[in-house]
Amino acid sequence: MEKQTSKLRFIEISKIIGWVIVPAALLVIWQVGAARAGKPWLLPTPVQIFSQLAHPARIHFASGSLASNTFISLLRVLIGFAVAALGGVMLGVLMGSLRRLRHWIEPTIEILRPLSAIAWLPFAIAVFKLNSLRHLLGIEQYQPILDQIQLGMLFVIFIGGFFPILVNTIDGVSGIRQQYVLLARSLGAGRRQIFWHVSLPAAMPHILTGLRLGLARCWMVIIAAEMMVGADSGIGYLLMYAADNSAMDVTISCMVIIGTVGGLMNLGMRRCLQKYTSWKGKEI
Amino acid sequence: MSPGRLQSKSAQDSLLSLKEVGKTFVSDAGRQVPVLESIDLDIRAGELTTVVGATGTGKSTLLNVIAGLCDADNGTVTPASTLDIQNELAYVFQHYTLLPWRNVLKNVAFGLQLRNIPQPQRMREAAALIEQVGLGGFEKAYPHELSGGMRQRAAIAQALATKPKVLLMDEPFGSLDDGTRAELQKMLIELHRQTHTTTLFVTHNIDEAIILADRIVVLGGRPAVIEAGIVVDLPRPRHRTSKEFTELYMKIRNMITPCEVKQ
Repeated sequence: MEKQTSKLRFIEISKIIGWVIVPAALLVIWQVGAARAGKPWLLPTPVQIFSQLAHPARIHFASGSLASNTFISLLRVLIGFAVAALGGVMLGVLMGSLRRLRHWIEPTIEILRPLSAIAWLPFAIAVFKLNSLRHLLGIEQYQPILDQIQLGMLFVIFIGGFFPILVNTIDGVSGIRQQYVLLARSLGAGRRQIFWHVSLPAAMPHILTGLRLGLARCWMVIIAAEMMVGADSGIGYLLMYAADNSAMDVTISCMVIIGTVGGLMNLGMRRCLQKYTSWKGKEI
Repeated sequence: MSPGRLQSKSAQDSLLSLKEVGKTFVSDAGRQVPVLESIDLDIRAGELTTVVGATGTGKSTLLNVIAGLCDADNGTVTPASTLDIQNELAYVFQHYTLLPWRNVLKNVAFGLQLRNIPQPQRMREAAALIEQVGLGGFEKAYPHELSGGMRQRAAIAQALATKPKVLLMDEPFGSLDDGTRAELQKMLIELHRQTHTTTLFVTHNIDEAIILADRIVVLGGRPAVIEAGIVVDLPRPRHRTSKEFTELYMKIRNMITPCEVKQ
């Protein structure tokens, strides 16, 4: 008994060391080292970075603030991801339930899938030029936000998110335990009812996993796309622009934001997964 | 208790009648495996019939053919003109009897939902059935939170919710411990006494077949044929230790495993 409590205490102390003491020690070493080096354009101190993060609305040169650029990036990702989710889930459900359709389309999917979404960017820019969501909606006058949602960017985000969502949805829909289909049939379910009441809920854990991976991919893709030539907004752009102008404190602030947003997205999707598919793995 | 009684009782309504039903499966290697051969069987309204046979005899296949979940290769399955096979049969399996993403209430109401019964009515009916099978208070629980016996109680409620004319049960108590199994047998007998739902109950457990049955159909051999149809008129509740019970048990056992030394 006593041995167990002491073991528990040991684990607790280890956790405190891992979560608090080690990071804090690294920050202190960084602070002292960077201050002694005295080259903030190369290695800013944590305090300098924190003071940037504490003023997210501060305008940096002509490229906007941390907050405004984060907002633009998030907007691009959410729109592109929504289209990828819609398309990936719909096509995935069809391919998962219609074997013939799957045979027809899957080889093409498998050829296109390994291609990095970023590799599509020059092609997308050439095709969509500087057209944005504003042009797509047919609005004539300048729109400060809609003009930042370039179709080329949306296209590469779509490509990034589409394939993980598609592949996972196909797996989920085609891998249903036949017993559940039999159960529904024995209770009088028709084909359409089986789809809505069995196939879709049974595939939900896979679909949500696909969405989680897809969203993470979309966030990576947009940061890379914004760092490419031709971009003029977004957190990836600010990160690049600030580094080119020796404002490394801003660049590292951007890195912190990108990591935090990515982590929060993952956390949110996991919560979703746990909440709606807690039955997974416990079927009996 | 004699097979002779079968014929004399034939005046009773037959709900479903099987004539010379045969079924052959093709193995992965392409070999033909006959499972059922010329099965003649009348399922009579209101009766609780048990089908007993060794594991792998084709009992489940017989049930699937009756339920229309797979087609017979030979012979005919003829329902009475009053029976709609699509909508008036219900099935209780041994495993995966409930949808894991629905709670008990929604599982029991599932069949009613498929028939577009309005939400308040189906919830009311489902709740009443849940009470009847002794699961009151567990309406909001998910299948993985229930014990094996509770799951089968819920599965029986789910099957009965659509008020089926025929209830097919495929080893529903096969994975339960003896105590729970006996409890559920008692419940099933009681439910049958109240509703008189025609029931076909498949089991490899001879005790169970005798305890439940109005009539026992003994399946045996490869491919399986009906070895005997036995009308059981032992008074209920039946006791495993009574002389008649033991005699019947040995009789069926010898039919299922004829190579064993007979007493």
